[in-house]
Amino acid sequence: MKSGRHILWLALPWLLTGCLFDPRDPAPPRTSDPIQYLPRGEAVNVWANLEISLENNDSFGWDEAISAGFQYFPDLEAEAAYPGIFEGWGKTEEISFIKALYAGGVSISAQMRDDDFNVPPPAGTEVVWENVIYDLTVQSTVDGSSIRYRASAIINFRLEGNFWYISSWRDQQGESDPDDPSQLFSSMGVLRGVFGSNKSFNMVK
Amino acid sequence: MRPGRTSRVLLLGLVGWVMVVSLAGSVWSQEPATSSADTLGTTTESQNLSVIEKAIAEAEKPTLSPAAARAAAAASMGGGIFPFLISLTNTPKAGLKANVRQNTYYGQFDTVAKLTSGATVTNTIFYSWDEFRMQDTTIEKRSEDFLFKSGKMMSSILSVSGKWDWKEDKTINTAGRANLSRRDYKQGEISLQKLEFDSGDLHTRIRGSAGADAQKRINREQRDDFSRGTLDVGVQSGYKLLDGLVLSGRLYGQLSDGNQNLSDTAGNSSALGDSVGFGVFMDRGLGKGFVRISRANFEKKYLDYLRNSNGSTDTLGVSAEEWVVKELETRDAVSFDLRHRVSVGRLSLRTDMSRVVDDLVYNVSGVGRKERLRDTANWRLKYQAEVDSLVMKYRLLWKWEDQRFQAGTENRGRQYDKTRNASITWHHHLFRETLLTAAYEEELSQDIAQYEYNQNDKDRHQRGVRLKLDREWKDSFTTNMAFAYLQTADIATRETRSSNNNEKTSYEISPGYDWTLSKRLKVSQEYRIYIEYTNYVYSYLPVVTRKDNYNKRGNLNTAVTMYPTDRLDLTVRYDYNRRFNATKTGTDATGSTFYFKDQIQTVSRIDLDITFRASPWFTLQGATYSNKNSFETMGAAAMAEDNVGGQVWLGCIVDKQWGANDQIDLSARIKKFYAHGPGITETSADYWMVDTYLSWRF
Repeated sequence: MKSGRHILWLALPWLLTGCLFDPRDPAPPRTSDPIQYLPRGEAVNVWANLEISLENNDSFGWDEAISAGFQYFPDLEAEAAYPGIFEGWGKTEEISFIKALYAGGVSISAQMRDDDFNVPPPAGTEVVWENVIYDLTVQSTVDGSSIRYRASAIINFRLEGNFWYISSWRDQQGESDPDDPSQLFSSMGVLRGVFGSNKSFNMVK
Repeated sequence: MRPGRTSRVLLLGLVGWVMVVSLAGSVWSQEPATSSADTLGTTTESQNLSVIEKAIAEAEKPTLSPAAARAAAAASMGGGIFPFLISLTNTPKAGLKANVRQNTYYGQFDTVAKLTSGATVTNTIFYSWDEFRMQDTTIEKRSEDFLFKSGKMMSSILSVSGKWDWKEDKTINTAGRANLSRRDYKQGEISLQKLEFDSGDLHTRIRGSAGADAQKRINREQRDDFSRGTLDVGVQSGYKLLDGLVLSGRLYGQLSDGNQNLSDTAGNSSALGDSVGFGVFMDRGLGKGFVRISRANFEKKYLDYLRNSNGSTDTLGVSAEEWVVKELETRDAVSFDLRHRVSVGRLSLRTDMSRVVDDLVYNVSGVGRKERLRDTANWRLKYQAEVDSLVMKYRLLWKWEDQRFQAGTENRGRQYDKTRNASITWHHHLFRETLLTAAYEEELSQDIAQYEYNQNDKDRHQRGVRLKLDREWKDSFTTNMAFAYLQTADIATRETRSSNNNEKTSYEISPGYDWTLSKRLKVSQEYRIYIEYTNYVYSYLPVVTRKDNYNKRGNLNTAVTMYPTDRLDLTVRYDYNRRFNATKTGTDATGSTFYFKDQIQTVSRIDLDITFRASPWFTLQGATYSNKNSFETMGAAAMAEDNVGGQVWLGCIVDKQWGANDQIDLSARIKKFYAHGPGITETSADYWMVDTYLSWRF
């Protein structure tokens, strides 16, 4: 038992590492809030915050909406195009993806749910959104290319602690352009696959 | 028959079998509707199997030794026909799975042959059909996997494998646009491993494989076909410098060549890759570990779609004839690894460090050239006293990525990702039967963009404390108390983004107990309270409109479990949740802060679960819950809403085996769900959850 108290001395060198954890000093804001996230007290706001995050290339907003136990399931097209990439795709992979997307020189316009979608009312501590259609266009600021992603998905929300989070995202299928149904777009699973397949550090050995 | 001759005959036999399997796969892929019975129904084999089974049963009689039993089995099979076969097992299986999203029907036929000297042959034929309930999609899959392993039949391990995968999915989206995606993939491979040579203190191992694979795929009416042959060889050598110290080196090369057809363009595809590595492995007085350095590179030539600077397919506004390009991709990577473990008395230290440097170049894709570096370091120091322990960890991730776009004249600048994490965990026995676990963790993660390429310069600083106290008062009563404190600061360093900088402070307290009142009754309760404050760092500035907020949630869970009889379990649970979100309105002269409640939510839920074990192989189950939700928002968009939801399901579990050695196996987990309430759609209101199969082993 005595040794149990003495071993705390071993923590002393660790305490000296405190200086390693000093964040950088920020520049005070010059403009009014460019990014106005909605309170996360409702699932509908959490989903809307993804749109705000995309349109402002702000990964904090995406991070705050995603549950620690998040799971992503691709649609059949994304799974076939990027086999193996989505196994065990959790929050770590999701945040790596969104950071890489935003750092890739992009400008995004997004509508994360179609106008016809009926938002289920708040009930209990879990909510499922079935067949929500999202639509986003990713424009490269480097080469000017513009690629549209439009798909339907099943989204699960969960109340964790004080706020709602997205606990799973299951892409169902790519959707058509409402003005031209023959024009078929891919899901965000394909976009995730592009960035997920770039992380090929593990292929070295 | 001499062993060498046996092996050759066996090999020839197996090559023949692979060809038959491949041919069967091809036939089946062409005529799926009528040929399944032909493929599955090997009548001659079935007749032989009953003979084998009888022979093995005879051989397993205790009056015979295993060797004599095998001899008897071989003799009863006719001796010369399968002299190397010890046993042959076939297992046909048919099943059904269902859930709220999809129904899956499947059939499978497994064959396992155990041969002399540990050699095995396995073969699996599989078929499945999926129907989706929430979307208009069906999937049909057919596959066959064959594998032969030589075991100890020869000095090295020979593997022969064959694989066939066929899949077709049909999807009709909400606008009525249909898409058919079909893939037919075949692969065959022969590999030789553990070909080993010893020369004094030098030990060398060689492995190699040769194979071929082919794919025919169509998606969105575009072809993606290829056929190629692959050859790879690896050599690894180890030289013992001293006792517990080995110098190791390895060399590996891979070559593939073939044809590709993408969209309407045909061409050649090839890949050439190699890697070389050296390492020193140690297991001496200074601990165990290794240092290893490797270099790998490859060159790939293939047809690909036009891609933009991010690597996304970009064919918009391009004529179909120009969609496909001939890509040349090269990669050069160097990696370094260090791993070390050492223990001195009660103290142990683990060290893991690595560096990977990577250079990836595309000749045509808009991605251009990517340079990457990733450093990781992990230290773990542990002190183990008699009943206490202290663990300290430090983790470092330091990586960057730079890119020169295809048309670029200079690099965009490095995008850094730096993370440092330190933690300390102390397990301490405070009193008799009372254990304290205390943990502190601190982390700083930073996104840094060189040259201000983008606005994503951010730091996230987190630190937290967790305390947990567990006490066993007596066998029937335990208590626990947990406390957590977490502080998170999100800091954007650029003036265009820093108005959202904030600091969140959260507290979580959760006392609870488990009380076994008698053999027939258990009670447990847990109360959990979550409090979180969000303070915006620059909320005092006129340009910042964000307001601090305060959020609180209380959650009481009560569960009573009863065991009225040895066969019946009943559990009643009641969960009560109440939370509010509030926004700061001001601070008075005394420093008191005022908040306005924007939103209040109350959720009450009662559950009842019943399990009745009717017999050792049959269990009945059922559960129901009812949920009441009250939601109220205040302020400009005031509203109040009450709603009620619930669910009931009934089901059973069957685990039944019949016959000698339980040859027939029936497994079923069946539940039928009915749900009601707001947000419950037609597909979620009434569905089955099933996982059931019937298999027969002979």
